[in-house]
Amino acid sequence: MLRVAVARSRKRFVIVNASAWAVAVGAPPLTGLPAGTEAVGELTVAMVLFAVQSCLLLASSGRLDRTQREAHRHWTDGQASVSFPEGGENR
Amino acid sequence: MRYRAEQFHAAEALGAAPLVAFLLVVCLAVLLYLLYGAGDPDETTDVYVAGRSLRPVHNALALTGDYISVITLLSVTGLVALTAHDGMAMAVSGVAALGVLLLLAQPLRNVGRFTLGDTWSERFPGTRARVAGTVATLCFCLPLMVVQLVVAGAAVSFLLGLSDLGAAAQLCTALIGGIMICASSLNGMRGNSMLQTIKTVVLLLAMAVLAGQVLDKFGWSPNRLIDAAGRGATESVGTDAGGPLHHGGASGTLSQLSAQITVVLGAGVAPHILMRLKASDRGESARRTVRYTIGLVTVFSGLAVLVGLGATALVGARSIAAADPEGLAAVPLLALQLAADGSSGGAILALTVSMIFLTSLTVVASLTLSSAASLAHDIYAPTAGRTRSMTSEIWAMRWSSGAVGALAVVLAVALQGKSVAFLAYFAVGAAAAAIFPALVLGLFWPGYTRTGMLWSVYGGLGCCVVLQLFGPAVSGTPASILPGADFAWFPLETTGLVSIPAGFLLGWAASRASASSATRFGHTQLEKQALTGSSRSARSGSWNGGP
Repeated sequence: MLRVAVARSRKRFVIVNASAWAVAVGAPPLTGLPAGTEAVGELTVAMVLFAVQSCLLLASSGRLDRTQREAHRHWTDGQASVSFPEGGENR
Repeated sequence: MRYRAEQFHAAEALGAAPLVAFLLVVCLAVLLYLLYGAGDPDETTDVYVAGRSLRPVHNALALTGDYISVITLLSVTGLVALTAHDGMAMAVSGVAALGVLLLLAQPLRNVGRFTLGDTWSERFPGTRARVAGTVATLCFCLPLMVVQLVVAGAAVSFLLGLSDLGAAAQLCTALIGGIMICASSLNGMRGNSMLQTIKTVVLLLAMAVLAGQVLDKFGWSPNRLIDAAGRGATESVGTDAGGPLHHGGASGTLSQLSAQITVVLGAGVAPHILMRLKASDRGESARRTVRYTIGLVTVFSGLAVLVGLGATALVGARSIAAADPEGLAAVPLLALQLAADGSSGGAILALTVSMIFLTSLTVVASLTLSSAASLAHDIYAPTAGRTRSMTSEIWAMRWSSGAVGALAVVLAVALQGKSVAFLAYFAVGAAAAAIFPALVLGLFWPGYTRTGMLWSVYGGLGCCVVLQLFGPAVSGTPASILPGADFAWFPLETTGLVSIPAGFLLGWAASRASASSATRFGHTQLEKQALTGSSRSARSGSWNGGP
């Protein structure tokens, strides 16, 4: 159960962020959107992509952390009757 | 970096404040090292990973310090100053690399005790995995140490306004190197964490001050700053602005793509970063540490973008490119410009000098510690056998620190004034092509074998070395390290586009050729350990959905 839950949250994180990264890095050079300083006053595309990607990464990392923590909590609760392996993560 | 005479004289005219501040920071750094490292720890866990006791917030500040090197600081701002989008894309990729690390944080904390060799030998016991870990660690750390020392020595001596720039840069390099050797050999991870925390605070503060000064120049209006940056950049269109990543055409696009992919997959799995994660008190803390670090690095990247745009607006892309084609001079030139324009010139220069000095010193100390730990724990300890004690391993680590550090300082002094950017490309490329595939396949693929791991590491490294050697960074262009020779047939500056798939393919092919049923069982145990942190011999229930 734990393995499946962790793998699912990991997969979701990779898909969201890899897509966003590809757009942020690839869109301006491939589509010709004005993103360089040679276009006076038109830096907004690159800056907006940078800001959106950063915010998305922050939000999705928070979500990944939360889902994995919940998965571990459920697993630990399910293991309450089983003696926890000595040391565990505190080893 | 090449400096113009008028810029040098501008720095000289600002008086002794930067020099005094620099010396104060040096004294403070030495004092902190002595205070925190004066003890004589008798446990390897204390020296290598601070007793595995660091809480997420403290470790996140330290990890941010480990992650942001002087190359990151100067190259991101420089790329933004010269090309805007390339620099912002590099900043995005730098943050995205931490996303990759976030996925690996908990497994990496739970698998293996201290080093990269430990992590690999957990699944493939024996000396060959440890040796591979040490080779990969040294291939990453040594080139990056040399680059950091060269760039920091040049930048600090320039900002201090010292007269003979060549000799002064060598002196600064040797000084930073000497403190770095003391730091890593005396203190270990605990003292290093304290210094990294202070460095992160100073770095963010200094960048915020620089960005604030830039915005103040433009009435706190981002639109005016962007317009001025646009004008500062258009002056240099068609001239020598832009480093090797910014050639036009298909080769330029591929080169940029290769650089971005290399940073995303290589920057997060550096050996000293992995060692930092192992200092977390639990696997969950390691994950949270990376999450907080993403926030801190995002703030730094935003400030770096503002500072880079400010450099273009106030200094001009032509001047920045004339001082250094890669743009590494953007921050020092901006600091000089702001110092010359405002009343608080000495303070700005002093803050910038301290920022560059601390950024270089702490990262080089981390790299030295990581290399020395790998040599002592993965090479010395297994060969010493039963005769060794923890104390002797710690002494082996200290001697290794001295040896690795001294080698880096000698190489840095010898290479002072030469173009060393290709060493940074090589180091990150080596991490992406050798360490990343072996970690990912080792942690997540049941069919991975010891032979596959060795092929991933040595094959990826070999591919990286060959392609880098026959690429434009070494020969064939005026900016190459051998500008007079031309044996370059590989068109890209960074090798990741080819060497990362090669690392994965070699690992997969060799594993298929040497598959056995024992490997699958080994992976099941490892996966449980990675997820739960339990020891491999322990039994527990339905962690994988099975009985």
